[in-house]
Amino acid sequence: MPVTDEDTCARIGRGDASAVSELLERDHAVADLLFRASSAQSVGDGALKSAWATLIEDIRSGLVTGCLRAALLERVIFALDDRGEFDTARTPALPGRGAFLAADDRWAGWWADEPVPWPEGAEPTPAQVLTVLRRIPLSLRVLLVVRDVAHLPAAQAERIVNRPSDRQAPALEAARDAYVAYVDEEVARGCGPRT
Amino acid sequence: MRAADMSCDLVAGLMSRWWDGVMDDRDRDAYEQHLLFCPPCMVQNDKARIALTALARAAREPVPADLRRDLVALLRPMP
Repeated sequence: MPVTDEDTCARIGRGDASAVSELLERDHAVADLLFRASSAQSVGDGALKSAWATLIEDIRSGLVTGCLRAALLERVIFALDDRGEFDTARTPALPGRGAFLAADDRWAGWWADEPVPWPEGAEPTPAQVLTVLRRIPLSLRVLLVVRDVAHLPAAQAERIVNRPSDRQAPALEAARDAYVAYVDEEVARGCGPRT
Repeated sequence: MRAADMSCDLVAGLMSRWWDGVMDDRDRDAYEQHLLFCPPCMVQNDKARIALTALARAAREPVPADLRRDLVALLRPMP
């Protein structure tokens, strides 16, 4: 039978160390990626550790009884905000989906500049993914991690991304388009000049 | 919507919905048929699929031993 978050909370409430370990193994990597994608370059990992400690304390006190991944990611964002450790570097305007022929062209809507394929087997490394995430505006990169890495449903993401669930889809679409465009640049750079 | 009605910019705009699997069967068929006769859109769709798959797998940092120790210490009963 799968372990539920409610079970995990009950076990942590009883002081079960193995429940803490299991939760760490399941959710630490996602929280770490959200932290590294969202924090200023020079800060230590105090906000991440604080988020974890706050979560365990809130479970112990009965304040948190479920939806643990969402509760953890929310605490990462709140800890960064409390400490003034968000990445505040300015990001450029988002790239578009590509260049398409104008409405007055016979082939309107078709590619003006066709995408160039990546070399066979090319894919972005985790380091390149992080680099690309940090090029995207902060609110959109948080949305990308929360929805496409943590796989939280829109309703659970609301408080973390500060955006109602019914307004997340267009932002997520823009974030994905920008992410794919920047990954394209990174992969091309990593593969050297194209011929 | 039919594949013949879809321009490349429309296909590019539907990528996110295709990735989420939220298109109805007819629109998904039209989208995927467009890819079959449009190599540039197939290239772009492949890039998006690979990039978003890499994103989904990007969280892989192991749990630091000191974090595990510190959190377990929080479980001790208060004196």
